[in-house]
Amino acid sequence: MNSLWNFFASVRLAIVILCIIAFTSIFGTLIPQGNSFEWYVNFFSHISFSGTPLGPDTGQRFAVITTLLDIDKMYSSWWYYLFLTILIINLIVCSIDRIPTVLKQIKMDNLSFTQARLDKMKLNRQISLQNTDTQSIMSSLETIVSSLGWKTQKSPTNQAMLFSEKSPWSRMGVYIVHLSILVIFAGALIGNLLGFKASVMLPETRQTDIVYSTKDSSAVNLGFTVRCDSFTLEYYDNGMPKEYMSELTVLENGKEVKKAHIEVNKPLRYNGITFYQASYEPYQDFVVTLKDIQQSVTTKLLTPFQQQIKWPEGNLSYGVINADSIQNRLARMKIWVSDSANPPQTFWVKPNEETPFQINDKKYTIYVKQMFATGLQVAQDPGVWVVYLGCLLMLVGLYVSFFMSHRKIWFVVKNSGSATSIIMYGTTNKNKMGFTTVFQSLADNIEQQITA
Amino acid sequence: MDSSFILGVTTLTYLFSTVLYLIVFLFKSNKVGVFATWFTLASFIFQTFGVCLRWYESYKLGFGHAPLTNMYESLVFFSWTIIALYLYLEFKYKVRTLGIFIVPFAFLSMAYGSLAPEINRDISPLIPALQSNWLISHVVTCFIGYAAFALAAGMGIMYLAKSAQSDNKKQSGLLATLPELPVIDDIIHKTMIFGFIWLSGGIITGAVWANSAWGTYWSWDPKETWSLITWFFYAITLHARYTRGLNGKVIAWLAVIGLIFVLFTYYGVNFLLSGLHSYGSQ
Ligand code: HEM
Repeated sequence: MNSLWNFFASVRLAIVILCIIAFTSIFGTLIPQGNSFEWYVNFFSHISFSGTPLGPDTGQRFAVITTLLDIDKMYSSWWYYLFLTILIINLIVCSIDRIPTVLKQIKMDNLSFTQARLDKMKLNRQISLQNTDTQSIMSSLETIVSSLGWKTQKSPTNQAMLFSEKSPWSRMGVYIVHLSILVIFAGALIGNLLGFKASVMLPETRQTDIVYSTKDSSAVNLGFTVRCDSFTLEYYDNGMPKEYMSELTVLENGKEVKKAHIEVNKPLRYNGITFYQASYEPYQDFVVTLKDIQQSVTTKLLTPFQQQIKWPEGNLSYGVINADSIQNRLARMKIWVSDSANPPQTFWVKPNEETPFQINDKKYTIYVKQMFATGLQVAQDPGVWVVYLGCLLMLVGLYVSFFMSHRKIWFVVKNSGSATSIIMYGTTNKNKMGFTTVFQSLADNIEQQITA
Repeated sequence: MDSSFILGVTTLTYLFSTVLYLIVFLFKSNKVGVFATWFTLASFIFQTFGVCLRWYESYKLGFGHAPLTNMYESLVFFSWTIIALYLYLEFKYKVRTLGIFIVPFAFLSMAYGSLAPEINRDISPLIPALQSNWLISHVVTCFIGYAAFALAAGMGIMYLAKSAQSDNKKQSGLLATLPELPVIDDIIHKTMIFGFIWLSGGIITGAVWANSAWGTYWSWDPKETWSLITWFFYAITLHARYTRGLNGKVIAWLAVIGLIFVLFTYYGVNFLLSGLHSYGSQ
């Protein structure tokens, strides 16, 4: 039992397990994750070393090994989780093992140090004095030292000793870092158990109350309905995509409860579920908005290419009979309209622009856009704030453990016959070089002030 | 004068700085040393001006964004950060002989960015995924980390050169002017720690950004995974220091090897593996 404890408490195990995790993680970056068996057969067959591809037989063999060892989904494989578990046990045991000692060092009674113990300290400095009165030396030393930013403690028994320390709690910095890793793991676990990741392709004007799990494509019920009112693609002048955006409406029991405009990096949150603009899919169809200006009635109709559509309220039939595109972007569409009384008209319109037209005295406008489906990533992750808390703890812990150190200084006044002197002793738990400089300049400062 | 001209000239001035620091190292000339420092500082200010101008030019083109968005701009920022950290180090430790081990990295980064045919140097607008305030914090934190690791590696080389010579018991010649081994060891340790903090920050800002764009803070995409591998590598190094039996030489080697991990994460992944971060391969 004891040896098992020691095994898990050792830093050597930490190094070994970190090495193993780092090394095995490489495989998942070389072998694309999450594909089918056939895909891997094909993938390995076409890998070539020095010109000749491995071929289907070797490809098959590699594919078998890959799927057998779960390398095709290695970051959630049993063996990867095993390594992470060992790391976690290692961290916990190591901390339980060491923290009591650290607490002892933090709370240590520094004023009871014997002269013999102080004499062993490498960092020391003697300041000789004319004054021989220990009492008055002590009191001026106290004022000087505290004016230099070091709080002093006096020994109740030893009149000739003064002690000062800085940031004893900084010794806990490393353990804050280690704790932060546990917190991040806890957050990830919460997200895995209680949350879901899913996606859905939602065509314009359609609605859904289920989305599909990224893990196994199973249906996830949202508990409410989302409708995609429109999807828009914007381009820069040079043809690069500028923004993808969707207008979404949330409905509960058929009633609209929220409208939102989402973009990449600007998701919609509702009921703890977040909808991210992730992708899109263009269709051959159009979404046409028609307005009868006199009667002020409007309609928005899904319009397949080259198909005649009736709008009874506006007493119109129409269709998109032709479309031109430049570099895959729709440039203009030819519209055919007719009310049954007059001869039909055709004219060109630009996409996403309201265009007026007239049949005799009746005024209308038409707005035509290509139809898209918006690709939404849907996520519920109640663990994400725990993960962020862990990240914050990690940065705080790193700052404390690297930029702060537990520094201690003792001042002892020595009277040997006619000569009196202050002897300073210093230790620190890290950054010895930096502390040496601080210690010496502090001593210089004290020497100047006390002999002045 | 436009920014690409200024940044092109900066490549040459950093080359000249490298030559100056080589002279300082070879001939221990103090006069050249002072000149090297001031010249490098001037180049640095000039480069800063170039970066700001590029920023301004992007606004004039109508899609303003900080110049931190593609491989070229990141190379410029990488060299800028290396010089900034180097000048601080030189100021703090008052040793100019460090220069020859560090300034060449800044030159190489600029030279690669300015000359390599596969690198696109145009100021281009941002694709939707990159339009986020997290982009800037992510790139800045990562590259401060990378630059610190480059410094650590430069000093690792210096440590190895010097310790190879002291093994031979010829403590004279060129390397004798370098700081003492424990001092170099201390600087290596400190810069690696500094880099580790910033790399941690870089991974965190990247995760927060991914979560705000896609709803997943971690998706094991090759670049993410490699940054984690690199992070593990430095965590291992910090712990290795703690376990007894490892001397400064091993740490120096680890500092050098660490830079290989950094460069693979930064550069190799974009060109050799595919993933979300493929914007770098444009
Ligand atoms: C991803 C995992 C880990 C990270 C990021 C991490 C981080 C750190 C950091 C930053 C330090 C301070 C190093 C220094 O002061 O130079 C440290 C120290 C240390 N770590 Fe870890 N650590 C990890 C895992 C572990 C594990 C699994 C153990 C288990 C044995 C461990 C044991 C220690 C010990 C004993 C120290 C030295 C504490 C001291 O200075 O008193 N670490 N760690």
